[in-house]
Amino acid sequence: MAQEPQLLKGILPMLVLATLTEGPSYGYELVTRLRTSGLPGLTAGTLYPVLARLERDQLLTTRLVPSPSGPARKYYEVTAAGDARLQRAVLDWHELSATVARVLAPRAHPADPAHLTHPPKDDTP
Amino acid sequence: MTSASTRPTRDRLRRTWYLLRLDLAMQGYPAAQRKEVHASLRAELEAAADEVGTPAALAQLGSPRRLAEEYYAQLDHPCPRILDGAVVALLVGLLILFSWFSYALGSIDTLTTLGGGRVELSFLAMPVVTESVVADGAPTRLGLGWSFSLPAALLLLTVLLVTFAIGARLWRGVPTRAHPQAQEPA
Repeated sequence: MAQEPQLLKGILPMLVLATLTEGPSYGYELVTRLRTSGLPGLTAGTLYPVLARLERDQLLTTRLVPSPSGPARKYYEVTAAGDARLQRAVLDWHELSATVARVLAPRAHPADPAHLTHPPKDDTP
Repeated sequence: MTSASTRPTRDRLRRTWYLLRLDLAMQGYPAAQRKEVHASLRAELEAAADEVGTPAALAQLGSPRRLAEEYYAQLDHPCPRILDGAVVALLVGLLILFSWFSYALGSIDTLTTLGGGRVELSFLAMPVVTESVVADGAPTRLGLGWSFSLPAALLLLTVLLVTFAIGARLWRGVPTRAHPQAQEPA
């Protein structure tokens, strides 16, 4: 997925909520989950402030789980309000992505072979 | 896996130094929330250090200043920077003190060049008395005196308060229609 920072910041709260609905995580674990989901460039420094914001907005709740290696880990879970926000965000996202797809429809996708100006030479007789 | 208690001292010092710099960069952040951020980050750093080591865990957070900006960006309202204001006011205060000394020493030097004498001056509404006694072309006694008048105190206080307000960007703490909840929640 594209790693445009501003684009990522706009959708990160939605992705965090969606990922946490699949199961609670502590912060660093969530970073690794999102990275393996297709955001390899995501840093902890980008994610933690978003988690703090979502918690402050009561879209996430936390519980401390003792860790054998140090201080208790703070596990994040989605609240009912967070779930409702996620549903709205998903609807908004689909609407937006449909609009973007319509606007970009005349342009070929860069990965599409039809986009190539010089198609591979056909050697077949 | 290295537990927190067995982590090398150097790693603990690095983490502490990072969190200290972050605290300084977040000095305008609401106090209760800043404490929460500090505690959360400490725990997250431990968790990340278990997996990738302390240096990599810190590197993933970016610079403390940048991380603080990320936290500020998640607030609904901008915050005053009290420490910045204090630093600016201190620098301006030192600049005034330096200027005052330069002015006084300059007047003594002038008196000495003119063959000695005593003069009463005023610098930023503060009375200054300088004196130079010259014998055989060389100064034998130099004198510098001052008194703190009310106008001088008021002027100095005003200058320092204004520079503090500008440096701290105090207007950010004023609730506005766009940011009605600028005060920290209870």
